[in-house]
Amino acid sequence: MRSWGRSSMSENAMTPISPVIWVAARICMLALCLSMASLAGCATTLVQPYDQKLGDDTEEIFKHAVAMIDEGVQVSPITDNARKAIKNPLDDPAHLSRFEERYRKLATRIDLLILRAMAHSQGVDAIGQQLQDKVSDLIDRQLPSQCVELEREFDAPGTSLTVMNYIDLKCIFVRWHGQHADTELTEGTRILKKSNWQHRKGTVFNAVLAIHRAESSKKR
Amino acid sequence: MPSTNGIDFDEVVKEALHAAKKAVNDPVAWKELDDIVENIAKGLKSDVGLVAKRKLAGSFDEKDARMFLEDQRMLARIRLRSSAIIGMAAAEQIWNAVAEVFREAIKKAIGWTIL
Repeated sequence: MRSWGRSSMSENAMTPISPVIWVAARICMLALCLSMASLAGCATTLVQPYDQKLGDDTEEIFKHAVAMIDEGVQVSPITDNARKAIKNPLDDPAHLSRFEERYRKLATRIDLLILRAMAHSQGVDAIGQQLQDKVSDLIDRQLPSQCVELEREFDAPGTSLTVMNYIDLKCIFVRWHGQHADTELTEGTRILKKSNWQHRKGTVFNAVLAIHRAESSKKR
Repeated sequence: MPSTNGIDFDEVVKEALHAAKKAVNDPVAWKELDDIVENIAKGLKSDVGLVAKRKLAGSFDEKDARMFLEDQRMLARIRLRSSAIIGMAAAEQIWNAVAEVFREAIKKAIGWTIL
């Protein structure tokens, strides 16, 4: 760990931590303000209503992502040396070309989820929308999205937190495709390593779990 | 507080507080919120540990770590947003529980639906 502490990667590794704690604290403050504001007004719908189909479709997209990841884990090399030893990367089962169709289908499916979430985002009260915009703003300032274009495309005032969660999930998938296509990251092979796929599984699991918990909390 | 048309608003306040307390104490909502916040902190801690472990094992270099941490950054955004959604959904339930008690009481007292 010490050698990491002196390297430039250490700075990259630590950057997300302090903003996250800062944003969490601000969200707690917002929640307190909300309690006071709710006594003065008569807001009744603060969050986008629960949508069972959105939850079911989220599970489906998780299954597709995991199927792609499992294939990646199975066919990809373990180390840099093993990857360098591949003579014809284009013919290798771990090459990007073997995954293009899966990435494309994943992108289409997540677009459908975004559309569904957007279509069902009506009905939030003005105070609820203001709070949601503030939460989005806090997160964007402290932890900017990795997909600026995507963010620009969808992130208008009035976009619900639920919709933004799906946009960020799409960002993760878009970046995965980009990383697989990146010749610098894959050392000219367009082949990822087994560990790259393994960490993707944890990412998609935790992202879908957080989304599920948030959406399920509206059921009561 | 004197009663209005037979409605004792001291009792209404008590009922409202009871309704709010019931909503606040919803163990499932708070457990979920608690879990997410705990996961954010634990997740970030274990991310750094995992990167170090994989570096030692030779399966992770600096580029791999960068890819991994980019994902964790996006994941942190989703987790934070999700905890906000849970908090707001709980606040909505609390307010609705309180408002419902007052709505009924005001309707009985003055005959108007103003909440």
